[in-house]
This record gives sequence, structure tokens and C-alpha cells, in this order.
Amino acid sequence: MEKTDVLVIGGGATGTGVLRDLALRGVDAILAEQQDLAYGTSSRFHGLLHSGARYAVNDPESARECRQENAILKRIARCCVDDTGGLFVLLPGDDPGYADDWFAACLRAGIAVQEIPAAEALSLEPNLNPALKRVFRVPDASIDGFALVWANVGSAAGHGARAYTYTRVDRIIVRDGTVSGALVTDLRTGEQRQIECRFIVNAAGAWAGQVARLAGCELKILASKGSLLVFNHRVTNRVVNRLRRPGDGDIIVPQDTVAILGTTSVPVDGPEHLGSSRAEVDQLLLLGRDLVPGLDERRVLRSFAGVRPLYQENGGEGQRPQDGRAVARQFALVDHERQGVRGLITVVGGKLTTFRLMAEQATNLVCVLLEHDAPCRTAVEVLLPEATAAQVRQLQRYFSPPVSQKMAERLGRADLDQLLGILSRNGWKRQFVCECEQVCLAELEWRATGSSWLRLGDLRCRTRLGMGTCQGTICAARAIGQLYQDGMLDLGRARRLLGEFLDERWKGNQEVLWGDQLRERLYARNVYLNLHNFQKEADDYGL
Amino acid sequence: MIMDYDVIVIGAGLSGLIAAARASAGGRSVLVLARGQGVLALTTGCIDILGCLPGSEGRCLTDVAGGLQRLAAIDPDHPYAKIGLDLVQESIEFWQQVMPAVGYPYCGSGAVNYLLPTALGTVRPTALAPATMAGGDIRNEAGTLVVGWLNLLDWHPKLIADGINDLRNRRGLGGAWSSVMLDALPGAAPELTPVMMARFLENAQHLELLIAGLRKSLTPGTGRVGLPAVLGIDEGAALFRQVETRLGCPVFEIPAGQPTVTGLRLAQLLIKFLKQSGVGFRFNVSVLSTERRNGAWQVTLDLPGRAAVVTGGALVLATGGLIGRGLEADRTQIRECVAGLPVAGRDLPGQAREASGWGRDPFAMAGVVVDGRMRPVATDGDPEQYRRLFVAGSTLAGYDPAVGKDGLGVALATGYVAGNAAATEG
Repeated sequence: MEKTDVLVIGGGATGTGVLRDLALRGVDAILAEQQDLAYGTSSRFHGLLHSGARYAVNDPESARECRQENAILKRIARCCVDDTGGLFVLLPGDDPGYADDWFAACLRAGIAVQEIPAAEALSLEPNLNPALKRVFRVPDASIDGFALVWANVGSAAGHGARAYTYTRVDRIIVRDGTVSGALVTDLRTGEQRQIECRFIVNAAGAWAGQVARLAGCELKILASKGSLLVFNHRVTNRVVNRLRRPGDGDIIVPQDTVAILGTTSVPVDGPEHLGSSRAEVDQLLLLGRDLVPGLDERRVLRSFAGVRPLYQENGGEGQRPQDGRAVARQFALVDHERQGVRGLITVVGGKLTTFRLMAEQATNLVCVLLEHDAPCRTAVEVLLPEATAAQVRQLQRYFSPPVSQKMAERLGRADLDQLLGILSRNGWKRQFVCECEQVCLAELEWRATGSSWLRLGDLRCRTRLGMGTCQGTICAARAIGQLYQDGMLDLGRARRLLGEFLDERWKGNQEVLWGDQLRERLYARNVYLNLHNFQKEADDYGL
Repeated sequence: MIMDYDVIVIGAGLSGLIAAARASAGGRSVLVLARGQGVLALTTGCIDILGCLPGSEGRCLTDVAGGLQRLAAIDPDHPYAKIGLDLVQESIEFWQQVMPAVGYPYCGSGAVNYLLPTALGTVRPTALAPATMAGGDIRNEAGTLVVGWLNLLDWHPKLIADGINDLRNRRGLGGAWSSVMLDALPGAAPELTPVMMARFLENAQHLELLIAGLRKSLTPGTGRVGLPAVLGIDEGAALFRQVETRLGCPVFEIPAGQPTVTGLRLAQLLIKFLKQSGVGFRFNVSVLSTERRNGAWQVTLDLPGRAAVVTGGALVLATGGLIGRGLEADRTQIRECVAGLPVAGRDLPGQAREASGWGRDPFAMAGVVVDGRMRPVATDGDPEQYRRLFVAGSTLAGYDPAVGKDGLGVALATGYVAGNAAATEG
């Protein structure tokens, strides 16, 4: 039987943050995630690293936390952060009085806010509404949730922690009112096993209520769905916020080669099987074009939705939030001892920007209970050591200088070593499997051999394969072909993974089928169904 | 530039080229107008008459003639049903006459399908295949070696060989396919698309290197060699024949990547042939408007710095579908871009719909509705406005080539009928 001090449940930013924090403090820990890492909210958001400005008026405490964590993540997680800066834009018709209140609130929260002339803003971001009234700069940035979560796990693993994906917790074992372990199932093999532990940290986000129930504890989590749209280019080069009371469709975040517009806020029953409705898509486009005129004419690659897990301390009995934004975005740390279960702690709520702080406080509590005296180091230890100049020079043997630079920034030192090792053995693996996102065969090989994965979508999340304009049309077959050629798949699995991947990509653009994206979808069908006669189900072709 | 023609064809995909060929063979003066390359290069280059019946869930049809009878009975809106099967047959015969003259003959009778391998290791039914591809039928018993090169993109020989063996085993044929991956072709770029490789091999010395490499990989059990479709573009099947002769072993091509060499090759050879036959071509030109005036069609072109008008006694619209941009969709409607013809499925973009992508797709089925002579069926207004206007190819409603494997077959048949009508009627 496997033994550890702390079992962390949930492989999002919070859970992996806790795992890393524990590992850096020398506490033995295991993480269990029922899907792949960053399956939930940590990847289903707009990718905004908040400066705190958005919360300055309504939630000054969150604003201050964001401000601090923003500065920390820009320092320790440079590989995951694109420090674009952000703008808050006051549009005609929006309350000018709110702008003054907001500005004062930002100053109170210590946020580096600075008003700039409208003309300057329009020269920085020519797509913005030219009728804008006032513009303020804030230190918002864009952050890659997938990369962040993987970096957490990579760092934790370097300090002895273990993370198991596709491992579902079936039961939390409580003896004499104290947690003693958990029964988990490896969803790949179907095998159930027991992990013995002294503490469990429930960091399951939108699933936290379900996890608490495994130990017989009640935990009220309100789920609020947010839908987002992905545009096929960087509509703006900075994060753009509409300066008004936070509402729908008022944030645009550039993410690598694309831009994301969000969000909506719709109460839902639970975290599973979420999509965006056509009505939400239309609503977002309508709102988005206030910020960027003509935004509704631009190409949308896909829509997706995530769930904000909102903790309501007292009751919320059977009640659903009318507006998820009315519930405080601060996080909660719940020690379930008061419900009669010692050794179970839930950390929930908050936002991606403050994941590290949430993890720190959860870990502090665990360490107190463990009587383990060690300071938190996650704010000072670099999460992912950056590429060296020598590595960048080596990359330039295979790629152009700008491509090398971008790869180096994205991957970090340890992964680059692996990549360069593969390239030195097989120089031809410089070939791009995904041209949109410039993912080469060597990177695919390293991610496929260096991590545990189940679906082609898992490799997409690790590499960005298929996330660009073609949405997998070119790269899905290339990736499957190469993985097969390299002996990493059998035939049945190759076909299954390809069908599943196309399904997932196509579901995402189901509600945005018009213009060029409709053409792309029909083109993709032409490639797979027609040219390759690829059949997802009846693969014997009636032979 | 001559300004007056008997027939003006808009679009240089297969349906437009066939309409032009048919009208030209009927002694008419023909002008083809095209905005871009046409989508022929996005196809396999094979004439798929009918590969799968609707609702057959991907089962490959081998008996095309029987399949067509069945299709006409169950799917009266399909273009074949409208044309009638006799004319479909006539279009196949026309094709078999034209292609030897083009210097790029196709194999097959049109009555049965080949089962040809794909670059994904699946099988694809098609009725008429270029001589470079027809030797690849997976039912053939010969020991088959699929060859790849490390620097070639979109080509995975092991996946192909294993995939085909799997299908052969299901049929009780036994696995006879194997694969070999050769080092990068010397002198070529480290990343070659199939089209780049085809251009590279059009140099005689490069082709020699390829043949030398292939020779070394042959084993006594090799009965035929499967190559990616990379054996040149401009010279038709000449490089293919050279490789086959020099190897002393049958060879076949499998289309790979996008665009495909076999699609591109067919487009270029057909255009070259039609030019030699006197058909006029004008590429990279957009049509601003079409108007029926004084008993002729006036087509206004968007030329650099000016608009120009050409007139034609008949007009063939072969502008493509949603992929080829003969149809365009905004958030509420699909429209036909050149003549503003009524579109079946017009309101699809704004409607709730269920389309997983795998089955028959409502967007793919959308298009212009015609009668058996390829004349648009007027839903409103004056039927005279469409006089001597004929529509062919993917602009038409009623079929989904991704499912039916009937794309170029419909292009051939409808292009033939439209060209015939444009040349003879009125």
C-alpha cells in the first residue's frame, strides 16, 4: 500500500500549488486528479493574470491579494506569463463617476494604475473603440493555465512529490473521526488501490463539494458558468477591460496567437458537460463589439465554458446565485474537524491569480496540524528555470531566431534540455507537427514520453498542438501518424484518439459556424472524412 | 482580350473545367473565369462516382452501377437523380475520351470501385483513378512495400501498411503490406511537403537518387511499391512510368498532405489541355455582377483599376460551395455569391442544428437547387432571369461528398450536363 503524509485531491492550479508548496517544505505528498491536469477551471478561463484592478471597488481584499500575487507570478513563473500589460477603457454611455471611484479604489489597493491619453491608447491598440472616453494602464497580464499547472507539478516532482492523473478518489477513509487514507481508481486500468495518508487537502475546485461528501461532510459550492470565445488572432496585444462594474463580455485577453473574449455568468447545477449556447455566443459578440467595433465580424475559432466554484459559508441552502459575480471572489479554507472529520481540509473559491496564496495558506494549516515547522518558499523559488542563452543558440541550429526565442520562453530550461537531446539524435524532428503554434516533432515526442497521458487532447494541453487557426485539421493526423510511427500507439488506439480529438475540436466550434470558421470546419471534414475516409465508428469499412 | 463568347464559365474546379471542355468540344467559344486555384488540389484527384450510400455508415460500395440505381431511388434530391443515370454514364464516357487526349489517362470502367489506400492507412472507394494510383487496390495479393523519407511531411508508411493489413485481415486476405522509412532525400529541404517533393523530383538527377534509394529497399518479396503522390506535377504520369520501368516493379501513388499532388496535377493538365483546345482562361479575377441583357449574359469583372464587361450567350456557374467560396455564410444566412441565386438551407447559420461533423452535414447539403438540365429553380420572381444560366459542382444542393464519396463524380456529371446544355440549348 502506498503511504504519504498528505493526499491532495484535484490537479488544477490550487491542488498543484499545494503539492508544490508541501514538497518545497519537505512534506511527503501525493496528488490525485480524476482527469488530466488543469482539466477544470484552471484551463477554462480567459487566461487573465489579474492586477487586482477589476476587483478594486467591489472586493478590495481580493484586489490587494491579486496585486501581490501578480507581482510574484511575474517573477517566479515567467515561462507561463506573457506580460502584456492591461488597459481599462471607459466607453461612452458607461458611468463616468464609476471611473473616478475605481481609480481611487485602485490607488487604495496599491495597484499601479496610470491614466493615459485616449490618442495614446488608440495608437497602442488601434482596434479599440475610437469613441473611448478615458483609458488607464494597469499591470494585468496573460497567463497560460496549462503551463502553470504543469510547472507546479514539475517543480513538486523535483522535490519528491508524486502526481497521478486519471486517478479518481472513490472514498475517503475515516477512522475514529480521523482521515487515514483514500480508495482511488486508476481510470486507465480500472484498478482500485488504497493510499494511506494523515491529511487530505481537497482542492477539487468545482468538484470540491463532491469530494467533501466522500468523507460525509457538507460543503456548499455554487457553480457559475462562464462562456468565452476564442478569436483566431490577437485582437489586442494587451489585456483590455471595460471600465464599469464587472459584467459580461467585458474582458479581452491575448493568449499566444489568439485572443479570448469573456465571459458570461450563468448559474449551473454542476461542473460537468458544459458548453456555450448560441445565445451566449451572440451576447458576447454583441458586448465585445462595444470594446472593439466589428468584433462580431471577426473569425471566432471556438467557444468554451468553465465553472467558477464559489464557496458560500452559511447555507446558500438550495439557493443558486443569481449573479455569480455578487459572491466574493475571496477564497475559503475549511477545516472539516468542526464537522467531525479530522485531517480533511478544503481550499476553494478564489481565482487563478491567487492560487499560490491559497496554496500557501492551506499548506500553513496542514503544517500546523502536522507540527511541521517549515517556511513557505513558493513565492521566492523560481517555478520553472528559464532557458539559458546557450540553449537558445543551440535551438537556432534547427529553427529561425524568432522561433527559437519563442520556444525557449515557452519551455524553460529542463524541457529544452530534453528537446535538444531529441533534436541532436534526430535532427529531422525539427519538423513542425503544428504549424499554427509551432510545435515540432521533438516537442511532441518529449511530451509523449516524458509525461503520462491518455488522450491526444492531453498532449494538446501540454504543447498547444491544435489550438491555433486550423484547430487540428493539419496537425491531428500528423501527430497521430508520428506517434504511431514511433511505436507509441497501437492501431486501434491511434484511430480512437484521432476520432476523439476531432470530436472535441468540432464540438468547440459547433456554435460559431459561419464565415471562415464554417469553411474551416467543412474543410476539416473534407480532409478526414473524404480524403482519408476516416470513420470514427465503423472502421471495418464494410469489408 | 476577346469580349464576346458563346459560353462563359465561372470557376476552374473540375465542374467548370468539364463544362468548358464539353462546350468547347461542341464547337463553342468558351471563356473560363476564376478567382483562385479552385479546390481540385484539395481532392484526391480520383473521380469518385459513388463511394458510400447515405446512411450506410461508411461501408464502402464496390458496385457503383447498382449503388447509383439505389441512390436515385432513395434520394431524389441528389444531383445524379435529377440528371438521370444515363447522363451520368455519358459523362463518364466523355471523361474516358478526354483524358487520353490530355495525356493523363484514368483507369476503371466507372461501374465498380477500386478500394485504394489512404495516407491514414484507411481504404477509400473510387471509380476512376489515374494510372499512377490505380495499382494500389488493397485487394491485390502482391507483397506491398510502402516507402517513406524522413524529411517528408504528412506521410507515415508504418501507419499505412499496418492499417491496410488490419483491413485485409478482416477480409481474410492476410497481411501482405510492409513499410520502410528511408533517410532524408539528399539535397532536399529538411521539411518537404509532398508538393515540394514533387517539384524536387522533376529534376532528372533528383529522380535518379530516388530510384537508387528505392532499388536498395526492394526485397525478393516485394511485388509492388507504394509511394506518396510525389512523382512530379507538370509531366503527368511520365515520372511514374520512369520509376516503374527502372525499378522493374509495379508502383502506385497515395495522395498525401494538402494540397495533393494528384489533385494539383489533374488541375494543371486539364487547364493546359483546354488552353491548347482554344478555351480562354482568365485567372485571379473576381466577378462583380452578372446580368442578362439583349439575349446575352453580361459579366462585369473586377480588373486592376477598372471594371470590364465580357458577354456570353450562356453562363455556367461553377463557383464552388462553402469551401470554394461560391457560397458564403454570415451569422444568419448563406448566399450564392455571383448571381444571387436562391439557396436551399439559406437560414442554417442562424438556426439551432445538430451536426457532429461525422454524418451528412446540413451545411454541406446546402446550395442552389436545379432541374435536370442544371437550370436554377426560381423560388420567386421571373424565371426568365435565369435563362441560359446553368449551375454545376459544389454550388449545388443535395449532396455531401465527405460522406457520399461522390464529389468529383457529381462535378463531372453536372459539369458535363451544364456544358452540354450551354453549348446546345437556346
